[in-house]
Amino acid sequence: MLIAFPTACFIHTVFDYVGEISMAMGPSMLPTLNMAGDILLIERLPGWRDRVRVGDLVVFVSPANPARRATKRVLGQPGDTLCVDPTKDKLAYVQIPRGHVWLQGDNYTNSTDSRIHGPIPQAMLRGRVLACLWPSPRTLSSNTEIIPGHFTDN
Amino acid sequence: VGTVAAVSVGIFLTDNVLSLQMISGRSMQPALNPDSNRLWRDVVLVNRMVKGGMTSRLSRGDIVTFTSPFDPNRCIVKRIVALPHDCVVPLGKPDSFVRIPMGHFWVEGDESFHSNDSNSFGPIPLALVGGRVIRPIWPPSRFG
Repeated sequence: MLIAFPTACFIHTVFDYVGEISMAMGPSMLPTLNMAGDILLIERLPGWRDRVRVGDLVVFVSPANPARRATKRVLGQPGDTLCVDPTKDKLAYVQIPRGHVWLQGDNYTNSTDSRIHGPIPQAMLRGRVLACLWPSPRTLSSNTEIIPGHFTDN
Repeated sequence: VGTVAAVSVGIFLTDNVLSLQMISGRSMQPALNPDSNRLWRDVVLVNRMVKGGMTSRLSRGDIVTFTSPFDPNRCIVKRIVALPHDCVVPLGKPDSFVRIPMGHFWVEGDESFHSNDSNSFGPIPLALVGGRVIRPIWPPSRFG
């Protein structure tokens, strides 16, 4: 018991301040992540929040259910102006408030994300996904190039 | 090894069991920081076992600490006024009401004139909750 409790605390602290390995589930990030079975490496080293870039995958707590976590892609940082759905005829833009991000699943047709919840507070983020370890090892951090958009005044 | 163990236990207990918080501002007067001359700031004991916001452990009327939705490095202390699915009439808008969505709650400072709370920023997610304030423990006159 005297050994078990500090060991458990140590492991818990490593999970909270270094990172963890976790399995992703659900269709909202297809084709980037499989429906089930992808083992992800998630980092939480101090300063990880500042390393989150547009294009990164992050783990966050669902605003509708605090017991539930999800993984989605960051498409907007605080202060960005984001076009909600470029495929529609009438374009809608959102200004992301201070302290919030826009999260969206890669599988647009089957994802509950910022298109439903709105911009999500950065405080709800729980880690930055670095890589998928298994079954097909690959890095998942940002390699998105940002091309400035041109807004037309309607 | 002993130091690592001690530090881990310390971090675990502070993050998940009990911690201390210094209160700034007047928004929770007279319950917290009651000195109108602002000569001191209360330090309160915080129950961290309610971190994460699972509703069954939180009640209306609890004073909670939570992370600001506008700044992930900032901690705010307010009172829970409403929980998911409640209806709230916001201060200053007596003809309207807000229904608290699933997973969210409504906070207000006891001192409404000096409080930046849900009356300005609306309902916020329960997942932001970091702990429930138990009682002030500093200065010693507040502990008695």
